[in-house]
Amino acid sequence: MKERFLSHRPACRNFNSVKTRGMSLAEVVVASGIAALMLVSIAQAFAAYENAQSRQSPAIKAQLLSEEGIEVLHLVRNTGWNVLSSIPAGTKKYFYFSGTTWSVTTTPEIIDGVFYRSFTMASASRNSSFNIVSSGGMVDPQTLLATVSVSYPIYGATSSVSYSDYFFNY
Amino acid sequence: MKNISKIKAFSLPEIIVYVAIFSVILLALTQTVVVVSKSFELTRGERVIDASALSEYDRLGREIRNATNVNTANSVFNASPGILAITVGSSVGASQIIRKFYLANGKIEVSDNGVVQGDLTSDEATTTSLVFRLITATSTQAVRIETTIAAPANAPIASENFYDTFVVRNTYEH
Repeated sequence: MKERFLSHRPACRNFNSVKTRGMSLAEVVVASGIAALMLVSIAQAFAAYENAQSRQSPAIKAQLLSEEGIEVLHLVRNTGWNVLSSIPAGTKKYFYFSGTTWSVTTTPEIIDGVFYRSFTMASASRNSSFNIVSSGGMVDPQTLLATVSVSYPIYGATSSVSYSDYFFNY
Repeated sequence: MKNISKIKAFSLPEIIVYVAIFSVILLALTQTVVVVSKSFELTRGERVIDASALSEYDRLGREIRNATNVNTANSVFNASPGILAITVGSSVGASQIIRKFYLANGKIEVSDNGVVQGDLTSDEATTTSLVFRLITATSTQAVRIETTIAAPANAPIASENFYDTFVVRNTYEH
């Protein structure tokens, strides 16, 4: 039984014939280089993923703040059309929250020390069918286009999110 | 057995060089794994926070906009943990529902007429601060929501603040 078992172990039979050589230094260096390249590639891939994700959070916050700006303008518009219509076209204005009310101010608004929020008003035009058109038509003094912008610094640059909506005095 | 003598062994300098190279590789590998692991946890936490914020604000925004009005008697404003109660559906009669949003074990929970409906956020994140602020302008009601969301829920390593305001469309004149 023992002989049969050993006869099925080719490694044992060939053991003495192997001229085993260790790795040369050059082989080790090459293998190390490949391993290092793989490590760097993995790290770079992860860094790219992390970079993309780290841009996501401020972008979402900026979107919510932009959306809030549009909602606040609805509130402001309901307090009086003249509050919006008296703002010169293209002039940057800002929001101020007292804790119970929102108002429009000329003082820049900075949220969490990072997000700069402002808004501008612009006139809107309508065609003969009374549809709003981006070019041509006649200016409708009872319609205004508001654009809320939120900008924030990220990785040495400035990113921004803008939301626009029309407001009516009807 | 004769051939064994022909096996070329490593010399001592070679072994020293190999061991040194492998040590450097092992050290770099360990450091990379540690850094990547920590960074991955942070990134994963941020992803969970973002998903929770979107989920919370999407649902809360829709509910507030579609509400009949804000039920101030059952709400807790300007403090955390806040409670927001809104009237849903008909303002009178049997179809009227008082829907509440409040914090329960770090998650925003919803109840209809006192019966718990479920959570707005996953178990992976925890809402550490929830403040509702009621804004009334002429006849219009609006609610500002201020939240701080952290993740992972059991041992937070990332935390973000989120803000948004929603106007109750039923109270909006234009």
